[in-house]
Amino acid sequence: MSQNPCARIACTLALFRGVSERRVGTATRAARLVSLRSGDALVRRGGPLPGLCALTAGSLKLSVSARTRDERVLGLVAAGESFGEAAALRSMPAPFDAVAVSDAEVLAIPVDAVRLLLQRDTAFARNLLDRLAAEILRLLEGIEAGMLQRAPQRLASYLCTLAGAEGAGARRVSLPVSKTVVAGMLGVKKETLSRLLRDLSDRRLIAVSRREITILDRARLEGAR
Amino acid sequence: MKAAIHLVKGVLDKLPLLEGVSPDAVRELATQSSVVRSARGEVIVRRGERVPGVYAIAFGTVKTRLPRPPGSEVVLGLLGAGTTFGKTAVMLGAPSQLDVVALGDTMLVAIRASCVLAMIERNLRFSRNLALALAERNQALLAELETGKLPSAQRLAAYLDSIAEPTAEPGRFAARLAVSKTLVAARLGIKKETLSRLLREFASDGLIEVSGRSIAIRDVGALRRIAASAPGAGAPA
Repeated sequence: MSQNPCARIACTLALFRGVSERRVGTATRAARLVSLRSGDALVRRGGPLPGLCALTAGSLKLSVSARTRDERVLGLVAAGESFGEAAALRSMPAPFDAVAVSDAEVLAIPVDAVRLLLQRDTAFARNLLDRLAAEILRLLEGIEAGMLQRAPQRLASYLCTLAGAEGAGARRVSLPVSKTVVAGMLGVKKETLSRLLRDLSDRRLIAVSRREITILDRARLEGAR
Repeated sequence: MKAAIHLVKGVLDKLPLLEGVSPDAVRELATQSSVVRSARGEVIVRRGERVPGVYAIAFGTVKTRLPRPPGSEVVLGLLGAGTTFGKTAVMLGAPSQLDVVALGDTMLVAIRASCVLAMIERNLRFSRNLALALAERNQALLAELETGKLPSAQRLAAYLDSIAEPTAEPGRFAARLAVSKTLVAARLGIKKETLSRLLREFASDGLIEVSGRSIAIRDVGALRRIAASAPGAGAPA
């Protein structure tokens, strides 16, 4: 087993699945671990990304806010997931704020090492391509939701996503993050989110108890306007 | 048949996606690809359908759009010769998220999905090119996600700034709309009348000078200030 703690951690990440331990070791030789307290920013939009990043513990939120005043959360990163691949590959500054929403640890792998590995390792190339493509899909969905759907629809489809693929019947979901962050993800003000939740529960589509939400009528929720 | 392969190879040879890939590998790919012709208005890829492969544009222009009820659409991008589409859907083995529609007579080369996936398994140069292309697309969409929320004046200012090029005269910039104003309006997600009004306002404020599809930018600083301004902070509505 490698002596380098970064290599040990990297071996467990989806991005390095199928990559030999030796190559992971080489790629992470200059990598470093960054500890963040809840609320700390790893990087602000326009600042330099420390490389290709993966979250090894805690959770992190990616958002844009500089030009739009209202924060818009692009997504939440969970432990084991990587982020910033596109900007890192292109040596561009961070396109988002990356802020810890709980105490967190980030593995940062220098871009040069990533590029070298990309030139040598088929499994890594495939993993990276999968990540980039999945991210494109997610961005397209975000654009579509923002442009084409109204806020109530966005909330309804977000709740249905949380509830998973299952069909009818009451189902309980719990918001994975605070209502403020959920509001940011949906691109609405926190007060609007509260009003929308109240509205949906008045119509008996959901029942709300803090961060616990019971979906009472999935079919009508999916068609909610 | 031989002539068709020659034609296909000629198109593939010029693709940034295949830059640095060995001629043998490109020739092999060419034998597995086919020519597709589309007339103006034809839907090449429909949202929700599987794409048969990655398409390379030999000539013509296509638009990618999020389909809406008749009369409205959200145009996400305009692609011309030398560019490719269908990469994400092929990578993920997923149906297309977008409609792709020919804007004029268009010739495309379709590279079979199975060949693209096989290339990823054995050609690291190709994988690298593809990764860079997907990364670029990622960043463009992220920018779109951000500007999609902006008021129309800001979107127009940002768009003009992005297509502006320096002229022979130092410090002077000019932009040329590559497509009709209707399409630019759709691209920006605003009504055509709004686009015309904004162009008039920008012109009367001395920011730009419009002559058909050519736009001389007279005050690039002011344009960039509008593009970067916070919503409601002084930008014309």
